[in-house]
Amino acid sequence: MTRDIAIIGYLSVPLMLGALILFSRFWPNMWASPTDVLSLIWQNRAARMTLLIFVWWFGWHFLLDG
Amino acid sequence: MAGGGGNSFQRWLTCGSILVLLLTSVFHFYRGSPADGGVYLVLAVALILNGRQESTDAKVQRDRHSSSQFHPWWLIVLLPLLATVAALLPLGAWLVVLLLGTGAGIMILGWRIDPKAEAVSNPRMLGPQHRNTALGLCVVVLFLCFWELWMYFTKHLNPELESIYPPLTDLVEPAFQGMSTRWLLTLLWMTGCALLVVPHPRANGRNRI
Repeated sequence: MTRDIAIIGYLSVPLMLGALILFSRFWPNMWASPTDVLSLIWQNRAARMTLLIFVWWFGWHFLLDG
Repeated sequence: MAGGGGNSFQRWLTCGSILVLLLTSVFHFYRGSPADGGVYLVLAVALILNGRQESTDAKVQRDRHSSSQFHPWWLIVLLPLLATVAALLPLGAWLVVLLLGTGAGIMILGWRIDPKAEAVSNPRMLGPQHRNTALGLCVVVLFLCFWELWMYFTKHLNPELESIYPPLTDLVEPAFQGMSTRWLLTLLWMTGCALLVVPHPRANGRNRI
């Protein structure tokens, strides 16, 4: 049961992201799309490099651990 | 976020990003993974040093990229090839070299992206709705971090609870054991990395898809 709760916790992350996308579709005056916000963040080099290294690190981590 | 507000937002974003990198580095050193910690630390130091000369840098970068044209058709060949090699290589020095080379390529391409070409020109985009979504994204990311840390420390402090409190790595790792799923996930990962840093031919002056 506790393992199921742990897994549900991880699954709730893409669900929350999906909710943000839906909010931006139904209430665009209150919620910008996550893509727009990421485009704003992308203009900053430090933020961009931080996002990139996290994306790269996932592959590095799983390929070397697997 | 325009004018002075925009500058303070950029400063906040830069300082926050460097802090996240330093914290991640410290955590990896703590968990006994100095290679991972070193990678994050090197990037944090590079960004700190870059911050001192960003104003002169920006003009050079802008001039360098203003007329860039790029046709990423060759990625359709290169990405499956790289993914196949990475999936087939056994754990060892060659795989490390390949992954570090991939990382270096991504970092160089990401570093050279022209921030002015990425600038949002539509003022409607800079409003409170962005603050709401940004806060929402922060909540999601922080939730994932705390959830993962909770699993990690529970497992770390009490190893027999590992099966009850599995960290994300333990849940995803089995997919990297089978050859076909390992290849597919490697291809997805490399494609994601490429989409982030490679200029899009239809982007009309923008350097990212």
